[in-house]
Amino acid sequence: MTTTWRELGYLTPELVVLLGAAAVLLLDLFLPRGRRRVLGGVALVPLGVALGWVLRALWAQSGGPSQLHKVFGALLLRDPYSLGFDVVFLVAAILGVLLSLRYVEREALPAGEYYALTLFAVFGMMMMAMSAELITLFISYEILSLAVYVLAGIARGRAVSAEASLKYFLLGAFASGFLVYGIALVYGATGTTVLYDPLGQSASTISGLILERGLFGNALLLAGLALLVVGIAFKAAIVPFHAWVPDVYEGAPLPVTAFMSAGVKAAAFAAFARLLFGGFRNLGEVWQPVLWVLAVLTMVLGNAAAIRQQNVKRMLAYSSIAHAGYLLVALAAYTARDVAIGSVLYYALTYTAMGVGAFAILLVVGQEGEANQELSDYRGLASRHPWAAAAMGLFMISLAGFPLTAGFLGKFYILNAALRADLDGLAVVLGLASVVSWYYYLRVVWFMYMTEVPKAAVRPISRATSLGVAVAVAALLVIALGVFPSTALAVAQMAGHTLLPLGY
Amino acid sequence: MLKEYFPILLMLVLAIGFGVTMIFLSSLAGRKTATATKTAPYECGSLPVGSARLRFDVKFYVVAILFILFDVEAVLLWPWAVLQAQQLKLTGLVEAAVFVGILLLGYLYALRKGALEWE
Amino acid sequence: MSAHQLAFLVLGVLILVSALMVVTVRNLVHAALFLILCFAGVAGLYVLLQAEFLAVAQVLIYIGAITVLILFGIMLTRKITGGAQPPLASHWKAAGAGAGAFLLLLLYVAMTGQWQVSDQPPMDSTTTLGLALVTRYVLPFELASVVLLAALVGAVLLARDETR
Repeated sequence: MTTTWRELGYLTPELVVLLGAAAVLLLDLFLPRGRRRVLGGVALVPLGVALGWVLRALWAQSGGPSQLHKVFGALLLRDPYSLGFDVVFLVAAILGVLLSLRYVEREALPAGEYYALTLFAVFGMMMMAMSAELITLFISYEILSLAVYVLAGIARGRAVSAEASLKYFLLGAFASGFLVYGIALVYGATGTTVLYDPLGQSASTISGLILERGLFGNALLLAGLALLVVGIAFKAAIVPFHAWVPDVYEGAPLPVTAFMSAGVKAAAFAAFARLLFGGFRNLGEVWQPVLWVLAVLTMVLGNAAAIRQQNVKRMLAYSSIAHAGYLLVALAAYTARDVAIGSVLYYALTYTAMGVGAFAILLVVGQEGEANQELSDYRGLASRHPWAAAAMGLFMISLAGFPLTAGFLGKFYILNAALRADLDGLAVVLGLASVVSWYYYLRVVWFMYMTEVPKAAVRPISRATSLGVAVAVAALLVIALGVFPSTALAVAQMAGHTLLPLGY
Repeated sequence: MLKEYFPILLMLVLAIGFGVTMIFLSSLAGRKTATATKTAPYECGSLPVGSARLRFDVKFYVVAILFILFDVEAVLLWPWAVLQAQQLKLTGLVEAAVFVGILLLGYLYALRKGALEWE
Repeated sequence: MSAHQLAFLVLGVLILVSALMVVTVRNLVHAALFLILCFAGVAGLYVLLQAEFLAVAQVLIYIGAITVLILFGIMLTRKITGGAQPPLASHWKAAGAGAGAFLLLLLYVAMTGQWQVSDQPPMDSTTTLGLALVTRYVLPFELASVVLLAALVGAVLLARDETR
């Protein structure tokens, strides 16, 4: 079994990102300290190249039949599904780097390590979305985790940042332990770690063996699956494995929070769907009720906690838990899987645009040392800085899921999947949770537009070009996905179909 | 299979047995007069200075972490190293070179950032 | 009782007792030393399972490096260096219940689950592993070095005194 150059060619975007990380690290070592500000720009290059490659590959397949390649035996799958998630990761990373350019300089963070670790994290995410084998999945998960643990604590001067890093690391180490234990038990039950074979060539995969040997009630397999779910649910910030989220999201530097709230969550869901719809598709009756309960818990608790927050960063942290719950609804819609997986992908992309956009406005309004993040700091923003307020307003109503926004369509497609899978109860909870979320999202809008602030208390905002570009890109994405969703949705659906068994 | 480990077991028994016997014999034959000098901890012939439970410098920790990482690297390379040349072929060599090359970058990083210097 | 079973029993008792000592002993340095004993017992188990490479890795990494790091960690921490600590944290009842439930689950699973047993005779595990690492599993092998690189950068960055 030799791996040819052609096979490595399928990994082009991943390798570009990895080489980019190495280049940033090397440049950091040999550039004088004053010139290290260029490193952010250097980091954008591999991300942009990779995004271009991924989009071109998706474009080439959007009309015709989707292409599916096994790389390194069956360890990795280069399919439209992984390409679609790569778009999410790369958009999140590009926006994250744009947000960081000014921030890293202002807060005097170590630029080389910052951008190198960001690229390592993106590499880990991309490998995670491609993994169709548990050992590869675990190692990719670790690359992503280690990079993000350090990024959360990279502002060493601030105690909250160090605290965030430590909490994330300690709980994350536990989650990794669960994941590995799960892999061991699943291997013990089946004798393989390969999840499934989309081309149907090999029967000795987890999905194949479950059918062939009738392992439906095997305690080893079920316990292993449960532990795998715990390990991934932790990264996806799903209740009850969410305890770390508020402190870590609040303590981590803002651009890191923006990047991880979108990217890490998307990576976790990418692996989640591949695991459940690919490897354990024949155990759907077993895991669907579990996801049902987790989804309800996540939506209810995430929203209930977000309502009480006065700090906008913390509010967004809790609300990101709620959004993980919406995504879980789509995963639970197992019997409507031909639309469910596509809606996960579509929602992950919209959440990336609106979530990172909202964090970008936090940076615009915020000042050195992460000041000005309270709700009251948004008083009268509309009259002072109409563009910033308008963009924030757009992100807020999209996050709340108002009609004609990307957020609404995303939720609509998830609801559609849930109803087609006869999950009426779950659909109702999703609708109610969204209505509750209107309160805390619209409160920000109310503060910006309906309150005034005395002239003396007016505070300046950040006017860095990179920030402006990031906000503009995110806003355009939200509008584009909301008004012209057909292309993105068609690609998402096609990508979702690659996870289905042949001839479904 | 376990027979191969018999020498190790023998070694273990001998080592523990020797230590226990010596302590037992000395407690049997030696005289027990406890003076202040005798009960003081033995520190290479010189007077003991302060407590042994000092707070360490964080620099030790960096060294320990680097040690772990390169220890893991060595262990991962070991199964590769026991292969015969004809099993490895050229690809095997290239694969290990890539593995070591990536870590070489890390070594270079530690070197340039001064993680290996003491001051 | 065969020698194999006897060895398993001795090792099992050793592991359990030393693990229990790790969590009950009041002096943290002593707890770390008991941890070494526990790790050594696990290495012995690997030998019994004919996983010799794992046994050596266990000795090299866990006994040789991780416990050193743990001892350094103890020495680095103010207050803890002194000596006795209360062995139980405040939430010990909830934590104990969680751990106990998990133990019961694993016991149940281990007793009732049907393990896949290979009918092939055991091979020289290290060579087999080496071959797998350069052929089928070459990707995880290379990814492992990326993990180590990311960890190295992060560790040096967070633990060093000042940035350069």
